[in-house]
Order: sequence, then structure tokens, then C-alpha cells
Amino acid sequence: MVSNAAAAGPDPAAALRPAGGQSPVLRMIDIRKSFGTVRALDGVDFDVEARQVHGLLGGNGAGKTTLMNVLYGLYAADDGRIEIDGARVSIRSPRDAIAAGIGMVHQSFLQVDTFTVTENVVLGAASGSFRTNLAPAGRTIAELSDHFGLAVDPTAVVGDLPVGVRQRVEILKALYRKAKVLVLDEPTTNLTPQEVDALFGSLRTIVDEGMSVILITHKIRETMAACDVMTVMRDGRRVTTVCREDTSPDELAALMVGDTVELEDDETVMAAAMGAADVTRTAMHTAMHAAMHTAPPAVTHAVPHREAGPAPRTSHIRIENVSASNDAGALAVHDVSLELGRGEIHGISGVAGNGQTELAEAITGVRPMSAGSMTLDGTHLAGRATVEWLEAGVVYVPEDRQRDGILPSASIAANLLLGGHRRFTRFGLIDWSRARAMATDVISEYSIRAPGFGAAAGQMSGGNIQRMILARAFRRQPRLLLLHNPTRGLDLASTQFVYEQVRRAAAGGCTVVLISEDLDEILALSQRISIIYSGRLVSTIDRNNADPYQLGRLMTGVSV
Amino acid sequence: MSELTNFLALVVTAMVPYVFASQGTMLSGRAGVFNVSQEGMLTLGAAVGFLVSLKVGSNAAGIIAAGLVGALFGLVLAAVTTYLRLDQFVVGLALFFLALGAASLLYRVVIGVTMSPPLIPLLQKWRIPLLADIPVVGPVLFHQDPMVYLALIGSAALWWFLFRTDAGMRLRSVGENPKAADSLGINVASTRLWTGIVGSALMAIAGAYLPMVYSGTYTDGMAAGRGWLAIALTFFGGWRPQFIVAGAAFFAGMEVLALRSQVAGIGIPHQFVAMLPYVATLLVMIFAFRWARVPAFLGRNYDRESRLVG
Repeated sequence: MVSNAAAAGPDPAAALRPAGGQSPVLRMIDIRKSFGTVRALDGVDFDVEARQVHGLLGGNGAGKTTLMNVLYGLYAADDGRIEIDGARVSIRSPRDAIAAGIGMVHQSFLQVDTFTVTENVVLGAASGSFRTNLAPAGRTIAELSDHFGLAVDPTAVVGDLPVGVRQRVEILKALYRKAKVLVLDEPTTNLTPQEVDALFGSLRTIVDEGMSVILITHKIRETMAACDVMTVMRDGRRVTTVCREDTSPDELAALMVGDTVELEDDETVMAAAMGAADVTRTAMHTAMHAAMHTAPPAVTHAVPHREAGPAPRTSHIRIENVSASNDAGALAVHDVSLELGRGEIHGISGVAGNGQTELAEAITGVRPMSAGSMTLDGTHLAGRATVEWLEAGVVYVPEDRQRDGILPSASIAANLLLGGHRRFTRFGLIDWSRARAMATDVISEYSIRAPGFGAAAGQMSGGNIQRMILARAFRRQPRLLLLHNPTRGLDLASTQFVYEQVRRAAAGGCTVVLISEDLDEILALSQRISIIYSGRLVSTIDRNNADPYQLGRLMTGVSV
Repeated sequence: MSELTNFLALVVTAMVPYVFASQGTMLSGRAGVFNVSQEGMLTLGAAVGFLVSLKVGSNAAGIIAAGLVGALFGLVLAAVTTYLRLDQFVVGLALFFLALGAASLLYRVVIGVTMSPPLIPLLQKWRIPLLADIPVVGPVLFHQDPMVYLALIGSAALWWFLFRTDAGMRLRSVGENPKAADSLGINVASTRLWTGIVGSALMAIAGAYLPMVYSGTYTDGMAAGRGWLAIALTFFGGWRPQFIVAGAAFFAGMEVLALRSQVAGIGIPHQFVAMLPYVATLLVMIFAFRWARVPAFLGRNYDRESRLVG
């Protein structure tokens, strides 16, 4: 019950302040915000000191991003007040927030793809003249980028840039506006280990210059590596605020997930989404397990040890010299060959945009191969109709679940039927009573948090959508299961759920290809790992011989 | 005046409604508001322009009145899509029908049914000294009515504003990524409102031009699909003022060609030739759509607190 005590008690952050220290740069007091009937923020107090990287830690739905969106004026708080440098400020729009010295780097970058770096940085900032003159701004950006170690080309068009560079552009946007408090929302998603190190280095320079950084994350390891102070949030409340020296990954994991007794008492979205208490316990265990392999303050990439299976004995799936083009017609996958054993989990790791999507689609029959062949248990699949791929047992869980994975406005039952609908037809008509019974079963079996099988699939949270997609995938009893970034944006419990399901499927003889930009995920699940770079598999290594930094170099094409 | 000069001069006149209507579409579209009521705006602009000119005795008054009525419709479209987040296409089509009906009704109420409809004087041509004496170019570009000059100078001004000023850059960012614009303190709602209003006003002015340069009177259906073509033309022009002018010249060329071949009687049934602008549109669009860069948020409504991405 540590959280209740902390939330109700006196401000713990006050105790952390050095004696005679200045008042915090930012104070958020009793912030409340509801979305309909969901209480996203339930009286949150949050203080940030100068010259500190302050971690804001919590699972999905804990309210971290909502709190910061309130601070940035994107959401109007129902109640509460915000003080900057001891003076109360009214933040009703991002314009007010910028004026108050707050900068925010959102998870999905808020950039105009068709504009250049300079245009994106200066956009909205008063230039003092009616005519656009980008030359002085370009020089300022070059200086800032040099000073803070944020390498960018000011004249590049943002839409052409890789994720890591686009993130630097976002940080430069805030620095250009002379932000006092810089908020970063899950900044390390899609970054290589090297890029993460560089980012944390830049953040250190930024706080050394007198600014403050708020780092939103659900990765304990990152907060231990980069933060001076961390605040843990859960279910829209602040659980506690602790200094890095006074805490441990274990404690943070326990605070983040909360104890099961409390979860059962708590009628919150997250608790219900977790369903059974044992899922929660497992999730906590995993979080602690992952965190224990971390030695602050260096940025280490935890590698929980896993028994790697032997190299495949019997070749189950043979992919030979596969090439495929992207939507623009350019060759995106070059001459990829892979042999996969029955029950193998094969990780494919790489920086986003190196042909992962095209490869995934080519070897699941979604995208035609321009060359090459593929056999599953001796059955040739290349060039066959989609229905034959499905019948062969190939199942694809795409990266973009909202766009490619579901019909957002169709019911959950209809979404669960998709692909397997032929098994639910009688005389060419869908047997809805049987389909509904199936959907009801699936919803309880997979702990999908939904009002019922008739609800629109797109209304559910990301975690529940993914549970539904996986339920559909596993019900088909796949022989090849291809997962692309299956846990992106999911909280600890949902991620753990996905991992369990994948391991269970593999144990049952299903071959799993896991394409992921999350290196930890690849390392946690795979027996063998292939690195994709520029549409080629540049290396395939055994999990036990994998070193994250070596993988990072391969992913960025530094060493081949 | 040679045959060619005569033809080109007519093309430049025929361009004007396309230029105004397409630049209006482009301007509000650049802020994300896709107005599909062009055909209605043109028709209503023609009716209002004609009636006010007739009653006041001044073509300028007619054009201004048409612009004001168009602005009112633009305000309705921008406001209900920005604040109430109604679907832009549904509202746009509703406004199209409303404007079409209003135009017909207005004419009947004010003029009634007559055998000889009243006429307004056509726009006077302004001769630009010296420049008008240049062979071919002079009569084509510098001996035209003031609306021609306004259309061309206005297009250049629009280009300069959109691509060479800070305010223009902000406007474009609203149509590309309103969330990004909003996060940088740009007022998305007011941008959508004023571009919606000005865009619609330009469309109605395009309509008012028709009775003042062709027939001298209003007839139902006199927009003759120019509004719909203006939408196609905006895509063809890649949502850029300078290419819209070029596209307008092409469309106008087709229109004049069709008209002239009717008069000339060249063996081919004139219905086929009359189809020309539309067939050309179809063909051009097939290719133009491949390269046309459309504002990313075109036709969509922005809700700051929506939890959906985008």
C-alpha cells in the first residue's frame, strides 16, 4: 500500500530538495483530467528542479503523457494549477506553454514532412519580419546542433530523414525557443543503442546548461541510466518521487506495477485489462528480472539470459533469394535467404525503414516477390493466391495494427472472424451465433478489455487491439507466425502476455519470425537473430553470441 | 488582329473563372478545408453578381456583393467543420445544393420569368499604355478587363505569400500537420476560418465574372461544370498557385477550342468537341494524380484532444 501512503502524505519531493535550495522550476499541483468516464489524472502533484533529468515512469494508462499534455496545453485540465519559477501560469494552449518556457518532444513527431529542418524549427516562432528569412535561423540551428551534439543538416527535408535525426529536430525546436523545461515522451523507441547513448549525452549537456528535462518512459533501465530523480505514476496518480541513489530497479518495478491486492481493489482500466492476478505477478517479475541486469549509471542494454535453442535441425521453412519492391517500385528487399526450423523463434532486427515491412509482406504472401521462392514443409508458396498462403498456415501480425491489422469500425466479433471466416459459414452465409460464441470465448480467454463482442474494434486501447489480433492469429493454428513490432506501445502486462503467447506457440511447433526494432525484445525471445540493413540480411547470429553494441553496429551498417 | 492573337486573348479571358475558383480551392485546402461547393459558389456568384450589377448599375458592386455572399458560405463551411467537426464533403455538397437553389430562386424573385431578360454591360477592357502595343503579347495580356489583371497579379501575390512569408509557411503547416502547427502555437481554427472565407469568396467572384464577360445575364446552369473542373484543376496544379495558372490556361484553351470548332463547323459533331475539356481533364488527371502533392490534412478535421494519432 506504499502508493496510497505516498500519495496522501506530504510532498516527498520536498524532502529531496537540498537544504536552502531554490524552489522548483516547475510545479504542477493537484492536476485532474477525465476523458468521459475515465479518470486519466486524479490529483497529481509534480515538481521539477533545475539542472535535473527527471524521469516520469509508469505503465500504459498511468497518465504520464496525459500529465505532460496538460503541461503543454494540448489537454485542458479539469482542475489544478501550474507554477513556473514560483509564479502561477495559465496554460491553455501550446502557445502559452512555449511562452512559459516549456518544450515537448512528442512520441509521434509533430513535424511537417514536406518542410525542411530549418522550416520546421522556426515554424511558429516570431521572426520579426513578414518575409521569411531562414538564413540566420539556419545558422542558429547549426550552432545549437553543434553545441548539444545533435547532428542535423538544416536544409534536409524532414520527411526524408530517419527517426533518430527527426528526434534531434524536435529537440532543436525546443532549444531554439529557449525552453527551460524540455519534455521527451518515450524518446528511445526506435533508436539504436548508440543513438540512445548519444541522446542521453545531449540531455546531460542540456541540464548542465541550467535547463530541466522530463523523460517520460516505461523503461526502468533508461531512468536508471539517464535520470537524477524519478516520479512513478500509476492509474492517474503519482505513486512517489525518488532520487536515483535512493532507489533500485526492483523497487521501481514494484512501484510501477503495484501489488496485486491493491490492483484487485482498484477498479481501473489497467487493473481490469490485466484480468487475472497471476498475469500481474508475472509482469512484475519480468520487470524486476530485466531491471536487475542493469548497472547504473552507464547505459547498459539489459540482456536477460535465455536458453538458446540449438540451430534448427529440420528445415521447416525455406526462404530462398527473395527480393521485393516497395510501394514506390524501388527494390526494398534484396536476395534474402533464410532457413527456419520448426518451433524456432527467429528475430530480425534493424532500424525502421530498412525493408522490414516489405520483407514481412513478401514472406507472408501480402506483397508479391519480385524474385525468389519460399517453401513451407515442401509446399511452394511464392506466387500463390492469398487463400493458399492462409491454408498453408501462414499468419501475419502487421506492424501498423490500426491500419493493417483491424477494421476499426467493425465489431470485435467481425474482426476476429476475418481470415478464418470460411470456417464460420453455412450455405455461404456467416453463422453469426457461432461467431458470437467464439468471440465471447476469445474475449475471456485473452482477457480482452471490451464492452462486448459487438463493440467497434478501433475503440479499444492499443494493448487490447493487439490481444485481439493475436487471438485471431493463434486461433488459426499457424505454422508460420510473423510478428512485426508486436509490443510497440504496449505496457508491461500486455507485453508479457504477448511474449507468453509467442513462446507457447513456438513450443507447440509454430515457427515464429519476429521483426522488431526493440532490441531487448529480440534478445528476450529469439534463438537466432538476423540483422536487416538496406533490405539485406547482413548477418545471422546465435542469440548466445549476441552483443547489443555489435548488433547496433550491424543495424546501422557500420560493420558488416 | 490575327486569328492566333484573337484565340489567345479569348483563352486569357476564359482562364479567369478557373483561376479564381482554383486559387480559392487551393487557399482553403492549404489549411485543410476542402471546399467542394465550387459549382454552387460559381452559380450563386453569377446570380448575385448579375442582380446587384443590374440594380446598382455597377459591375464592381456586383463583384463585391458576390464575394461577400461567397464569404458567408465559406464561413459556414469553415465554422461547422472546424468547431463542430462535421464532415467536410457532406457540408460542402449541402452548400452546393443550397447555393444552386438560392441562385435560381434569387433570379426568379428579383427578375421573374420574362421573354427578354435584362442585360448588364460587359466589363470594359483596360488598355495598359505601351505594353499593349507589343505584338501578340500586347493584345493578349495587356488589353483585357481588370479581372484578368487581378487574377494574374493575385495569383503571383498568393504564391509570394504562401512560399515567401512566415504567415504563409504557418498557413501551409496547418494543412500538412495541424497538430504540429498547434503544438507550435499556431492558431489552427482561425487559419481555417479565414482561408475558408476568402477561398469561398474567390469562387463566388469567379462566378460573378461569367455574366459580366459572356452573356450579360444570368441563366441557370451557366457555371457549366467550371466549378467541378476547378477542383480537378487544383489537383492538376499540385496545390501551387503558379501551376494552377498554367493549368487554367490549358483548361481555358480546351474550352475556347471547343467553342470555336462549333462555330467553324468542322465536320465533327460539335457535341464531341464540346466533350473535349472533360475528356482532357480525365486524361490529365490520370497522370497529374501521380505526382500531385496534396496537403496531407486535406479534407480532415482537427481535434486537439482526440487520442487518435494525426
